[in-house]
Amino acid sequence: MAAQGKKEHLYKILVIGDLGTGKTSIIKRYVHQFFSPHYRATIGVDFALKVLNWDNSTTIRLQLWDIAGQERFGNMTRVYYKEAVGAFVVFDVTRLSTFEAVQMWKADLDNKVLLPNGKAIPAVLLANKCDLASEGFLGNINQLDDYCREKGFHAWFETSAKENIGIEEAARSLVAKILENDETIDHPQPDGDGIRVGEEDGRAPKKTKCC
Amino acid sequence: ASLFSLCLLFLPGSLPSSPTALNSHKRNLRKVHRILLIYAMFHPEMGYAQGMNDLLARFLVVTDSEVDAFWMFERYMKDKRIDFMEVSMMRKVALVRKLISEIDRDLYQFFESSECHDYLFCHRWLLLDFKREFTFQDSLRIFEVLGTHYLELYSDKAQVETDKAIAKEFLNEGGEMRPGRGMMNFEFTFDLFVCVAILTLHRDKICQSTDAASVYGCLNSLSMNMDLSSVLKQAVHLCLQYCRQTVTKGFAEINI
Repeated sequence: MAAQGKKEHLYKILVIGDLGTGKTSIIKRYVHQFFSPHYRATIGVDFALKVLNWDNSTTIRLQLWDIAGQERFGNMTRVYYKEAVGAFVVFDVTRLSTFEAVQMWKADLDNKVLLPNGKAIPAVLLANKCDLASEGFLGNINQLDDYCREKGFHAWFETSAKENIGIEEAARSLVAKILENDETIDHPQPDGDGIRVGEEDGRAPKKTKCC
Repeated sequence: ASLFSLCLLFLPGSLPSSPTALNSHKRNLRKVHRILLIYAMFHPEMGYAQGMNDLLARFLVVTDSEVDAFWMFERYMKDKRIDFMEVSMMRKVALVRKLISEIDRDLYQFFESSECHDYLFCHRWLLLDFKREFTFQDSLRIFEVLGTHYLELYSDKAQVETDKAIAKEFLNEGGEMRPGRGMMNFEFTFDLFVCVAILTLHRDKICQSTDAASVYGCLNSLSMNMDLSSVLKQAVHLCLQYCRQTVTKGFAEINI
């Protein structure tokens, strides 16, 4: 039997960004501890599940939605974005154009999905392929702090799916923010079934269930 | 930007380790790169789109000729290009939904009540002619099957099946009434029947899914794990059954 009162959260997280920035590789690394150097474009959407034992009383299931970086299917992404509670926006530190596209992706995200309280969903910026970074345009990577504040990113991390750098930390940061949001947002109770989860004051984290 | 993205095919580190394999891999990548680049230059309105490399790979491997592969790809894209447009792809995916609603009501109801009533999981299947769902050899086979248009609703084979159904109804009615072809929807192309075949063959597993993610998880896990012959057999069966049903349905409506 599971421990009494153990909470289980299910969170839908989007992974978006220009094509070839390494979204699929990041997910593969994070979920399967695996890296393949072979590039295969995602068509439509791929999907992976990561289970996190957050603390003794909380299990978190992350649904990672790996959205194709193709820009021409604008309306399709609207469907995929539905009910997401967090996002990673990925760019490739070796290609400036992918960084320039970040604000397009962020705007797209904020246009298409909002938290129940009407606020933007928390997004973490990933500067991927940091193992390949040369001096390049990221000489001023420290300015990313300002950039994130300005564009409304919760945080940013240098990552490398190949060398397994920064991904766990980035995920922890995003999940922490999602949990924080959960605690401050009033969620409607599921009607009539009498199951109460979360705190006594009636705030229940979204999609939470007792084991 | 589209042309630039082609450079992705040359991503550093995306190469195998053995020197011989490395050289041939590099050569092939260069061919893919050149063909897609030239295509994008001649068709700036199309540019490069994800999935084109999958489609091109079939021609390149089979012909082992860069020139032939280019012209085959160029010709093939004349018909295929609309699948790269959002509106027409959304429409095609919506047709799968419509076909499911006619063929398998229970499965249809399941999808309607799930978060997957948009059927977007068919996007990759349809865009790449099922290339990633089967082994490369099988993907060539299904490509040929679809390319021949041997079994489409307007094909001779479908016509014969429909005529047989008409004759049977005619006989059942004691020769008093001659049924027509009913309301056949010629937009249902054979690739749509293949989608429905995949879905109906795995309906039990699919229906156990509780949310969009598990539906996607279930369907993604089918990739490379399906027997093409069974899928094709089911697709043929569904297609011919559809021919017969349109006759009986059409006739039932007349009878009222």
